[in-house]
Parts: sequence; C-alpha cells; structure tokens
Amino acid sequence: MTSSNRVMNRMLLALVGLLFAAASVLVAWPLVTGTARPFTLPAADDTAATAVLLGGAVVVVALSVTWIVTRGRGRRSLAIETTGLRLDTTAVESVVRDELQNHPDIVAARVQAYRSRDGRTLLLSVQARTHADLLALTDGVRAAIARADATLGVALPIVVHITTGLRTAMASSRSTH
Amino acid sequence: MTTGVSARAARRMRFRSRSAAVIVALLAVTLGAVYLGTEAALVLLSQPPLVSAPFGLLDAADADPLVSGGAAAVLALIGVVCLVCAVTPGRFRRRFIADERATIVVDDDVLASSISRSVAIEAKVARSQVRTSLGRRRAEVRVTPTTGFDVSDEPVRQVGEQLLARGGVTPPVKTRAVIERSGVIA
Repeated sequence: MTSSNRVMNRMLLALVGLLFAAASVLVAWPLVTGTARPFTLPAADDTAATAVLLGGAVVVVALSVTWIVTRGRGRRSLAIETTGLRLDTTAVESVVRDELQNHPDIVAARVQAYRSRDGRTLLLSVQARTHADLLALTDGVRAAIARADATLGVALPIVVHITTGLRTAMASSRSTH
Repeated sequence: MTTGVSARAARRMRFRSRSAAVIVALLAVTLGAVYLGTEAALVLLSQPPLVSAPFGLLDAADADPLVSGGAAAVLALIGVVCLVCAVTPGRFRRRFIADERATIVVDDDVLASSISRSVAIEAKVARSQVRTSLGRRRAEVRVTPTTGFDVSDEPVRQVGEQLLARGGVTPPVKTRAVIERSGVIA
C-alpha cells in the first residue's frame, strides 16, 4: 500500500543478485576451471587502487544506508489533511467499527491511511469470521463505507482487504445461516 | 472495476512488495562494503589487515580450496536468492470483488471458507465435512457425505460457482465438486 517504487525494488534486487553471482564466479574461477583468472587485480600494496576502493566502499555504504532508512514512510496518521481540516484515521476507524461491530461475519476492522500519488488512500482491513457469508460480509463493508462517506462528507479513495488473522483464529465460526 | 488511485492500489495489493528483500540484500552489500573499506583503510594507514589487504583477498582464498569453495557457494546462494526474488511475481493468494465505490480484495482462504459454508448448507452436511481449495482459476470442493444421505455433485458445483459469481469475484473461478465415496456418521 505504500508508494515505494516496486520496479526499482526489483531492479535493485537483480543488480545485487548479479553482483553476488559475479563475485561467486570470481572466487570459484581457479577452483572450477583449474586456470588462473583471466585478469589481474592491482597489487595488494597499490595505494592508489586501494584509495579508489575505499572511496567506492564509502559511496556504496552511503547509498545503501540512505535507501534503507528512507523506506516505509508511506503511512500517514491523518486521513484528511487540508488547510482547514485535519482528520485522524482513528476517527474514520471509529465510524467504520461502529457500523461493523455487530456484523456476524466480521471479528475486527482497522483503518490506515497511506500517501498515494494522487493524495491519500485509506486501507480498511477486515478480519472475517471462519465460514463467513461472503455476500453478507461485502454488503456490510459497503454499508460501513457508505456511512463513513456520509459522516465525513467526502468519498476518500479506499481499498478494502478482507482477510483472516489472530482474531479469526480465536473467534468461533459463523453459527447462523 | 475500479479507476485511478484505487486501481493502482489494487495492483499493489496483488503482488508482494520486495522492500524487505531489498533491505536485507542491501544490508549484505553494506556489510561487504564496510569490510572491504576497513581493509582498504588499514592498508592506507599502513596497519596490519584484519584478514588480508583487499586486493590480496582472492589470493588468500585461493590458498585453501575449502575457503574459496565455501565463499563461492555462499555468494552464489545470496545471488540466486536475490535474482529469484527479483523475477518471480510474488503473487498473493487474493482476488478482487467488483465494486464501484471501493477496491475490495479478498484473501483466498476467506473465499474458500465461504464456499464451504454455502456448500454445507446446500448439501445439508456439517461444515467440517466440506473442504474447499482455491487455485488460480479453479476451486475444488470436496464433500464427505453423511452416511445414508446422498449428495449430488452438480448442485454442489453450482452453489460454489454462483456464490463467486454473485459476489462479483474476479478473475472468474470454475468450480469442481468431488463427493467422497465413504461417508461419515454425523
């Protein structure tokens, strides 16, 4: 749900994979082929080449650490954030939970907000009871969204994820037809 | 089904993010770079190396086939895992439900459990006597009948298929019903 670039993620993984594969070939070359490597590295005491290597290592570490620490920033605590209005996701969650709390097919509901390219997208995660009635469940979710829309006065983009979880495992299965 | 923001969000819900894998891979790269950088700095400061000068590492590894073989195997393993993560789709076992207002994504286990419920009601058996497994395009419903009460496969198949169709589940799923030969005493 975050806005991280997934193509870039895969390209980075492929790049790192190729890097490690190439390093493996480099190390295993004499062992596998029985011949010397088809190139020579600088001498162990070559200070100029060692300085270049040190510089390269510093750049790689800096880029990697920058990438790692800038991940996972897509989630937002506010569902609406304009100059005149700041609405926390817990307010939306309260409305949704209030609508769903007595639904026989739903054991838990949670609302989170994520930054998206066009603004803010809400993720409504619903944990279904075992042997839930699919149609009743989706009708309930639609009613909860409609109530949230009516309460907020605005239809925010929303993704609903109907799933299972710990609460599902702990709750009894749906008992009525 | 959905438009704009929701359609994009829905696509992202279908496939596993590789962010965690990238972070682990980059941590491995960082550790390697820190080690090489440390060895390089020690050479520049004319200090004794931790293991070997960076450009002497390959020669040091060559001296012991066990070390070079082990190192090559570990590097190859990391490389293959990264490449596999990069190219495999990493699809979640989820499906969409058509809706104009929101994007609705349902896990396959919720759908399977729901089919089992509907089939159990139709076949008049306990829910524990129905097992549903969902593949990408197919669902298989296995019903263990109650001894002395016949269960026909066609109504079972129809119930499963109709539930998914009425629910607007996409992509469409074909249902196959299997009635077990031996029943149980309920």
